[in-house]
Amino acid sequence: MEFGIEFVPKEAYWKTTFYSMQAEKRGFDYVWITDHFNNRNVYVSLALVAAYTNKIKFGPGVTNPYLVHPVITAQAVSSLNEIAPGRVVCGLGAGDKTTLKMLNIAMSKPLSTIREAVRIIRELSSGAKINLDGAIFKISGAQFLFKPPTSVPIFIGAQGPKMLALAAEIGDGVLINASHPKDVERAVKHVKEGVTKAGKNLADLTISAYTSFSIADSLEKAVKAVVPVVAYIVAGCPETVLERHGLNPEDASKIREAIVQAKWKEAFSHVTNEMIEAFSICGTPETVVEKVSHLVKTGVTQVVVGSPIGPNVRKSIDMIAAEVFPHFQH
Amino acid sequence: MNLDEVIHLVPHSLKQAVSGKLLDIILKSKKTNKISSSLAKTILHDWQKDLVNTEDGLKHLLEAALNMEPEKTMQCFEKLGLTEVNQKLKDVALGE
Repeated sequence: MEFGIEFVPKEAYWKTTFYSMQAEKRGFDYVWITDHFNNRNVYVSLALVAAYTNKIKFGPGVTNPYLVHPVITAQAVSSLNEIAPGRVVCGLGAGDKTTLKMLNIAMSKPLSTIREAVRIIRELSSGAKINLDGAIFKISGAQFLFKPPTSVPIFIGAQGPKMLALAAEIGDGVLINASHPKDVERAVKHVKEGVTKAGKNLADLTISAYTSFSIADSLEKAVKAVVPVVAYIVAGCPETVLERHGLNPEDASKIREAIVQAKWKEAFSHVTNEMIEAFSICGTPETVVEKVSHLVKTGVTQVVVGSPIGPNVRKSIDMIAAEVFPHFQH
Repeated sequence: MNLDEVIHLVPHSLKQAVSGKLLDIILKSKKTNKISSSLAKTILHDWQKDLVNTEDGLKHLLEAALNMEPEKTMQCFEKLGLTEVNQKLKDVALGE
C-alpha cells in the first residue's frame, strides 16, 4: 500500500518545499503538485522538491494537454528526471473545465487528446523521435537534443467510465478522483475492464484514490478545514454522482450560485455532513483509518492525501505518519 | 538583532516544542513578503539536514517568525512558560 500527498502551490514556494520534505521524512511515497495557471508554476515547485528530497517520487498531479502542449510536458518531466533520476512521474488529465473556460479553451475530444498526449510524452521522455499524424496533435520528427535518463511513468487522472478504461489501457497508473468507497469501487471496476481489454496485468498498474482529506485531533477541526474543498467539489459535481450519494441537486445549485457570486460564507453554510461524508476522508485518526481501510478493500494500491490535508498541514502530516500508516502495510 | 542570547535561554527539553511553535507561526503566516528568500532557503536547508532544533536552526526560525508575526512570536514563548526568554526577546528587540 502506497501513500501519496497533494500540495497546491498557492502558498510561497518554500512552504510547498518544506511540506514535501516533511512528507518524505514521514514516509510518504509520492508528492503530487497541482497544475493551475493561477497558482505558482508546477515545474518550478517540483524542481525545488527534486533538489531538496532524496527518495520520494513526485510529479504534476495533474497537468493537462489543453493548456500545456505534451511536448512541453515531456520536456519538463524529462528535465526533472535529470535532477532526480527515476523519481519523476507525470500525472495527466483532461483538466478543470472552470479554469479552461477562463482561458476560452474548449475541452474537446478528451479521450483522443489524452491518448495522443500520453504517446507523445512517453516517447519523447524515452528519448525517441516522434512522428504523429493524430486527430489532435500533428508532430513531424520531434526529438530532444538531450538524452533523458529513464522514461517517466504516466498516471492518468480520471473520473468517467471511458476515461478510467483508457487510463487503465495506456497509463502506468490511474488517479481516481474520488474519496468515497462507493465511487472508488465503481471506478476500479472500469479500470479492471480497461486492463482486461488491453491484455495488461492488473498488478502492473498503480490504482490511486485521489482524495480530499482532512485529519485532526477533533472532528470539528477536521470538518472546518474540509468544508471549503467539499463546497467546490459539490458545486462541480454531476447530478448522477450527487444522486448516487442521496444528495439533493438543488442544494448543490445553491452552493454553485453562492460561489459564482463569491459569497463564500453562504456557499460553505450549505455544505452538509452528508456531503462531507460523500466527498472526503475527514475526521480523527481513528475515523480516517476506518475510511482508508474501506478504500483499500476496493483494490486501490495508493491513497493520495489531497487538499486540505488538515487544519494544520504540518501537524496533520505528522499525525498521518504516526497514527494512520501503522495500520497499513506500507 | 542578536538572537543568540535569546535562544541560549531555551531549555534543551523545550527546543523541539519551540521549533514546532515557530514553524507553525511561519507556515501559517500570510506575510510571506516579510521573509527574505535567503532566510527561507536557510530554513529549508536546516529542515533538510534535521537542524531545526539546534541553536542555529532555532535562531533562523525565530528571526523569520519575528519578521512575519512579532506579536504571535512573543505570545508563543509566554504560552510555553518561557517568561525569561520572552523578556530577553523584548530587551533585544528594544535594544535595536
